[in-house]
Amino acid sequence: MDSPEAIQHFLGIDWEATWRDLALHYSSITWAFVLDIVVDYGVYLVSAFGLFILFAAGQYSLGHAGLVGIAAYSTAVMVVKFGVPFWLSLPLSGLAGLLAGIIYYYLLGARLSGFYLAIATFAVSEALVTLWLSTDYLGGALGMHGIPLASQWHTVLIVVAIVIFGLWRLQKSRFWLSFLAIRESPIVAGAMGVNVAGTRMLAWGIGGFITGIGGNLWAHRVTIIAPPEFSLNLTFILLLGVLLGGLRTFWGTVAGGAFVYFVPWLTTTDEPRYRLMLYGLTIVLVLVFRPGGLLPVGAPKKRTVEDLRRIAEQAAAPPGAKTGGD
Amino acid sequence: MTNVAVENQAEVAGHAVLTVDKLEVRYGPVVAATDVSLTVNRGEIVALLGPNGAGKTSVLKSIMGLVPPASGTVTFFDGTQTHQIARMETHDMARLGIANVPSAQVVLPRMTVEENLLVGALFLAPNTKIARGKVIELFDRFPILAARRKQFASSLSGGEQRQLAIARGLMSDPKLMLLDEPSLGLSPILLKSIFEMLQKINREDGVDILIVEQNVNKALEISDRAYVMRIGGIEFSGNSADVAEGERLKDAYLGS
Amino acid sequence: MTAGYFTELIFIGIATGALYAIVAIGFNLVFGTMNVLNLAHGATMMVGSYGLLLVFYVGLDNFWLAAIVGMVLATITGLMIERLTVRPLRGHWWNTKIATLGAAVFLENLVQVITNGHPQNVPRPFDPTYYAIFGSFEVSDFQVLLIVVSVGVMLGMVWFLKETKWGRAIRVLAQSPDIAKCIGININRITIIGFGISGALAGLAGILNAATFGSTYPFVGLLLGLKGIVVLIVAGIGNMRGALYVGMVLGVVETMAVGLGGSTYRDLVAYVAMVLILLVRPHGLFGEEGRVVREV
Repeated sequence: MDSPEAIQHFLGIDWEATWRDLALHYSSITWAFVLDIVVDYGVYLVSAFGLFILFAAGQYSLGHAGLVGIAAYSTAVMVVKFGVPFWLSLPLSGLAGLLAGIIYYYLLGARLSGFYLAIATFAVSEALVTLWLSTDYLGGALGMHGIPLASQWHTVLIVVAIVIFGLWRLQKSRFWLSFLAIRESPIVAGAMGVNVAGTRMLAWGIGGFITGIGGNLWAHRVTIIAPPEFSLNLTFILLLGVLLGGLRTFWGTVAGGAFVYFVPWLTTTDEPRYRLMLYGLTIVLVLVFRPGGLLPVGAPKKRTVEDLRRIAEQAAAPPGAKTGGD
Repeated sequence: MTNVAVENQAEVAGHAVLTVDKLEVRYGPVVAATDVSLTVNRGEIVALLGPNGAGKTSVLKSIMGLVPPASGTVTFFDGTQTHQIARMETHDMARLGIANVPSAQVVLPRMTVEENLLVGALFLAPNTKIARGKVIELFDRFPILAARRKQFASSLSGGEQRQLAIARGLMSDPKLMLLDEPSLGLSPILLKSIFEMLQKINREDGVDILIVEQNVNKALEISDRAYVMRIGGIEFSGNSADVAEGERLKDAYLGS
Repeated sequence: MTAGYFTELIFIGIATGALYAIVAIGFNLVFGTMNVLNLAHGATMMVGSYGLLLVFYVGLDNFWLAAIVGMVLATITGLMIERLTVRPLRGHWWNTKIATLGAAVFLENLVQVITNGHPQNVPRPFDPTYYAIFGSFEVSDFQVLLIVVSVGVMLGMVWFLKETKWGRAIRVLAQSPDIAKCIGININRITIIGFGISGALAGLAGILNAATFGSTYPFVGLLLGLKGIVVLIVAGIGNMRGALYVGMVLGVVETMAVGLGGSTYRDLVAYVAMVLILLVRPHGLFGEEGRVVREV
């Protein structure tokens, strides 16, 4: 009944042009392009995992970009100034991250919690940026360049797989229970015999180590690093991935990170400003309607006091010992 | 746990001021009290007793709306109208003439005694002048507080803080006052004076009182009727004189 | 470095610090009393400055009118933040913090998209006149204005909290939400009032900042907001007078650092100060133990 032209000009919108644009957008997506994004996602994921570990133990850090930056800069120094090969730099960066994490713990994690910890980590992160800007050895405002592009898809895949395996084992171990215990209620956990301080340090150490690797991969991916990259925007993107996925399991971060990386590409161009707008809006919506995260399984289980007690008991018991009757 | 209803003349005549019916209070999945029914009649002092953990404070908090009830109804009769207050906002309840005196965090520590009193009426009275007038009135009745009017409430002794909290409750000209363990931490002498004060408030100001108490003897002394709770429910109730004499009271506290 | 130059630096520092103080006081009202960390306070400041610009953009040339419009817009923003992110998440302080952060990111990038991101020039209310005092150093009347306004804001806030009905309500809420409810205070309504005032103050800070530098940009709220938080923490959360003093001291120390060492170290002062205080005396210089401290 309606002529094609009439349908076309329905509501005055030139649909044909719109389809043409979208088709162009999608057709310009080649497999190589997709692979690119997937690799970026993988690199991002590792650093996000580091943050996930911190959050899972109740160490709410708002300065993760700083930790990533430390990892990236130590990688850059190793590789560019001292010519360390990529495969060697990986574990070394991990160690650097581990060290940084422990320092963070002693400086901040051991004394502060909650709001103060969040603000302090943020301040440290921003302070680091200022520090890097004014350190000529590290290239000052121009940063460091010349890092080889070693993060190819196969490398990243292997590293991510190893990290995921490690996380999987960690989540099954009794350390994980300690993390949960000190996150839910440090006082109860302490009373039950969980070594709160030690567990915190462990969380910072492991989180730092993983972030160290993440930062290394990142440096080897972008090949040029400069101070302004390691500020609030990066922290926010990492935060978003972790929060969207919920804190129950690291697979949540996998899903959350996927959202952060892939959804914007579905909709429009690579305009970073739109993306951030979308992120900001998303996080508000998620928190208001689904504080447990996006995953259906992400909604936090209601824990009774009994559950907490049981978790703390299991965490505090030496491995292999039987816990008291439940 | 059975709920033994008490046949009380005033209750039969329908002068119930507060009626709680099958109230259930939960904190998340934990049930603090269940199937709680009680009444406070015009002119009465009613005591809610029971050992620690029986759920008395939860019931009181729930009546006041500080903890939303999981189920059940609470009805308040203010002299002219009956109100369903179970799901009402606490600040609206205050407007109806219900005053609440908590057991912990009794006063506003960083405000002066005078200001503590003032805010008791400031948000309920028609204007500030009237509220200030009431402050003067109450300082007359509570000379101990008047002596410390400019001091910060945190510097008062435990007994004085309780007095202040009760005085603050009176600021709003309430019809019903809920008190949570007013004897907590008080020496016997102070205890005596506080409880005498409560009796006075009940008789002279015509304020009906529901009091949760650990000090069983004192509570039974001044109250007309009592309900005894045990592990989240009402065990039994009756005239305070009868309850004091009976064996069931001891059983409820010592458990079996 | 002459004594005159030195004193001039101090004066500039005080003026800069005055601005930080206004930011901190606005923050304080909401955080110190309602335990809500409004991370969108910075973005609200930015909205204020852009509201200012908007008026000029439509052709009206009056700075004071523009300032009023800017403050109104900022107040509205503050109220919307309360309605959309704070109220639904009441009680979950962590979620609230992130949600307000999300709102901030959204707002800042929205403005960025709309205005194409370039810093915008902001007309000054009047050309500053410089007065030579004590011989060689100059102060401008604009700087004096800043100082006067910030002291005025602090005094106004103290008066509001101590003497007015709503101010008292806010203080009651800060000390005991339960008692507040029991004496008839409607917590929702108070929160709205608090956010409204806080928004207005944010707008004021944003406008003053824009007028000082002669320009504004979408992410101006980040740094300024962070400085405000630093002042709060160093002074002790909830303390208004302390916020004023600490703000000014911070401004002076910063300006000194710039004068002596160069502009790269300016922000470092704030960060170092904050970390130090957190390690040594977490409740702040004028604060007491426990999170929420003296309001006035």
